[in-house]
Amino acid sequence: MRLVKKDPGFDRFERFLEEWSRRDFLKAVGMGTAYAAFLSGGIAALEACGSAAGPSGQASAKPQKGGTLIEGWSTEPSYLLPARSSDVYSNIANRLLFEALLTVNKDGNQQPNFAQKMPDVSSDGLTYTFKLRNDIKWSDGSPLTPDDVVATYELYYDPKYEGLLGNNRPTAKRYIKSATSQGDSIILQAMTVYAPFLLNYGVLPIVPKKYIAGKTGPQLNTDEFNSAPPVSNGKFKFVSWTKGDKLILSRNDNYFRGPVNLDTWVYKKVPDAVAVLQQLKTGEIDVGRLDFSSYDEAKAQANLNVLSFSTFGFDEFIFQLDPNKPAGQIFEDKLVRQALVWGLDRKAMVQAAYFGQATVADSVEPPTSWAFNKDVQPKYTYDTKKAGDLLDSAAWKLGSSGIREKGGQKLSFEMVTNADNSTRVKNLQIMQEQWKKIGVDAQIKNMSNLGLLSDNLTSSRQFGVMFIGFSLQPFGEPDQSGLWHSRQTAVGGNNGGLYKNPAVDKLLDDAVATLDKAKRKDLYVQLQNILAGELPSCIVCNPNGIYGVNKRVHNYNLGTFWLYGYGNSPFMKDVWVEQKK
Amino acid sequence: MLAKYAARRLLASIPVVFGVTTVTFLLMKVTAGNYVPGLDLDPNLRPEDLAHIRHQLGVDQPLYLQYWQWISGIFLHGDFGRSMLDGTPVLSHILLRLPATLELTLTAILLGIAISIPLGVTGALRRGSRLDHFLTAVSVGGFAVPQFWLGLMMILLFSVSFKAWGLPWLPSGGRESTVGGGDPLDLMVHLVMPATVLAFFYVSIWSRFTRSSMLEILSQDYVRTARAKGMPEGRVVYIHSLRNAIVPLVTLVGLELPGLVAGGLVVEVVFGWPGLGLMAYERAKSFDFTLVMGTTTFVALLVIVGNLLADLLYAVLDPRIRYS
Repeated sequence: MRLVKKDPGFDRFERFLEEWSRRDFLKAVGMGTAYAAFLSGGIAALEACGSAAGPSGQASAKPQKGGTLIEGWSTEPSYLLPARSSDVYSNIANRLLFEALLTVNKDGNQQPNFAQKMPDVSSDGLTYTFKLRNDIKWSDGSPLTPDDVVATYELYYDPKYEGLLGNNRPTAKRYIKSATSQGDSIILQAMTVYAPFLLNYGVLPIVPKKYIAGKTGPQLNTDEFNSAPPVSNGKFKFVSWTKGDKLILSRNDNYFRGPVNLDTWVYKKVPDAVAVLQQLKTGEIDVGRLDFSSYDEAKAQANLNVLSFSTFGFDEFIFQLDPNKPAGQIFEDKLVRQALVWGLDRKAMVQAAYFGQATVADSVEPPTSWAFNKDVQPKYTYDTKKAGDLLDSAAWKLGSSGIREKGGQKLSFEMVTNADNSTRVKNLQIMQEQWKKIGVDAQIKNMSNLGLLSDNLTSSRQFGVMFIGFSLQPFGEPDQSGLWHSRQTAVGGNNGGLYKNPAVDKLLDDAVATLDKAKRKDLYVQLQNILAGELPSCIVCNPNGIYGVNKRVHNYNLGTFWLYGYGNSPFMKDVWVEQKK
Repeated sequence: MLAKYAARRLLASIPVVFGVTTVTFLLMKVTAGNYVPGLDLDPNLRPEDLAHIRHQLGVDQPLYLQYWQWISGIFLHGDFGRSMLDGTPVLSHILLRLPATLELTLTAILLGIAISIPLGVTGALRRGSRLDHFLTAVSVGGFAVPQFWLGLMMILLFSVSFKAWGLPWLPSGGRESTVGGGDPLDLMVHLVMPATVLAFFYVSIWSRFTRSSMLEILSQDYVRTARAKGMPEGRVVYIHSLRNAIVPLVTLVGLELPGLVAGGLVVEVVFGWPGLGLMAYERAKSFDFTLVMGTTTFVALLVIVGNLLADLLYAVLDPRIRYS
């Protein structure tokens, strides 16, 4: 007799059915309402799958309750008090604990969350009135009140919290004048008309007044709340945090949209990107962010789905425009900057340095932005002849050495990036090679790490060309004043190439003071054209975010606008895992 | 006499402490520059905001003032400062991570002793044999093979490949299972690979040392006398010779004791072992300079105190040693 091995998939399916019929029965008998809620949740999950066409979503399977999801990250969170945290890794965790008046959908559009509807905006654009839902509870069962909301906002602007560290307060203070409550209404007063106001300040995670009020800023810097918040209002509540190892959250049954599928969510600290891939393979972690170079290897793994999506940011190289520096004297001439971009095969760069996991960029706005100008002019392709012609017309003539010269000066400059980022280093090597072909001598002189590079960009500014990347925040917001405005040329600002253009300043200022989205877009379209023509920096590409997700995980539909806990990671509501026996 | 010696040694360690702290402090400042850790490159920050944040953190003060505040905190108040990243006391981080490091290094040292002595003795007794050559080769290999490489290869084989082949596999890192771990078996399973890699390094040194020391003792007159008297070979080797042969080994192992707190850095990093070394490495990468400086100083102080104690202990234990 031949032994027929039972299909393990079928086996699992049977167990699954058994478990579900039992559960459904219990639910139907015991808690009719919970059952209905569960059903609607299930439908929402199916919808999410269908619309997002999530690569990890297997819409045919029915969500299973319970289980643990382990995310592996090579950087640890720092603070669970959202007002204190300035890093994206903290936000991944604290946004699962604390939600906000508004949330963000998968297209980057804001939706009401704790607020009953989108706020009313006064005609002068300075007052935002929210109505708070009355069914929001803390994880201990007590109601979340307008007082909690007001106390949260005070953390960001009120002088009594002066000394609270992080970069939230310094920026928020410029825009929030006051937060007050009246019945179930929350009234936010803005300092000035500021178009990204809601995108920045409609999403501040609400924290409990009980544990915050009465403390000072410096006290809150080191308060217990940062490492072990006693209550929460989001999808999960805090369980434990072993620093350097793992942070554990468990399902919050008082979550206002109903309990999530998962029992437990774990943020596991994994040594580095290599270990992330290894542990994804062994199943020690369920979800992990991957390097570009790991994409193919992860894709070949039988136990993994791989998500790859465009992020809201770009990699760029900045030209030194300071006329007091030797490179600035070269790059002062717009024709030289344009020639260098024409002389660059950015498609090849994307293939070689990003392993194809990036899109060549034409504009400073990412294509995922609503303000993206797809007809941006000019667009640059790879054309060495044109590059050479432009350099000729800028009087940089080919010398006998093979390097172009003008008035005895060679067309030679230094390029810099952080050496611990292999993608950036490889980009510089390609640029050096390709520019050599058009008679340009670019020397690579890297700095060891991002700290030094960022110091160089914002303070010392000793570079000819700097390769760096930005994640534009908040996701979905087209304002880039921080990069191109002339006031950012002061020491400490990110406009380290010292690009100054009054027309650009005016467009940037006007655009954030314009509330009408269509009019705003017009301004950003103009801006994109100016920056594409002037090239204070070359936006090389929009890199992808790549995630390995174990196939036992369903509905992990992370996308551009939900990265790093943005919008409080709404997809996490529907995530479920097939459980090990 | 002893008290005077102790006082002199204590005084002599002051320049050492000063040197260690100054070098650490300057190195950290040079590598991290004016960078404020824990802040992403945030386009919304304006120059004045950054200046404000720097001022709040006190990193806009002159270097000598920052150094003085830090060093005086340690020696006047026992305060190793606060982490630049999360604002919690550095000492609490150190104490939290110390047990994991001790668990790993102690296991490795014990494992190293337990393996290297028999290996060394065998090598000495069968000098020149094939086994001896093989052991020599292994020990040279252990010394030459970088720990990180060995660690990664072991992970690749015993975790990733074993798992793929459907064999029982070892966890690729960490001190316990992420979910439902912590029982003795789970802890041991996690300890196997990192402790082996670390012990391999010790074995390769100590077994060579035991071998040569043993060879020297075996050729001594009293050993020949013992054999001539007709003493059983086992007794000659293990009681009379080995006891004398491992005295220098004790010193050697003693020298590794500072390594109890600092020695496992590479292994901790490769295996994600949540100890002091991994913490220092991680935090150095994210420019948490107060924490790195605090940890380095803490370890340096431990080493200095440990050496001092060892010196004094020699005097107490061995009446022939007199300090004046």
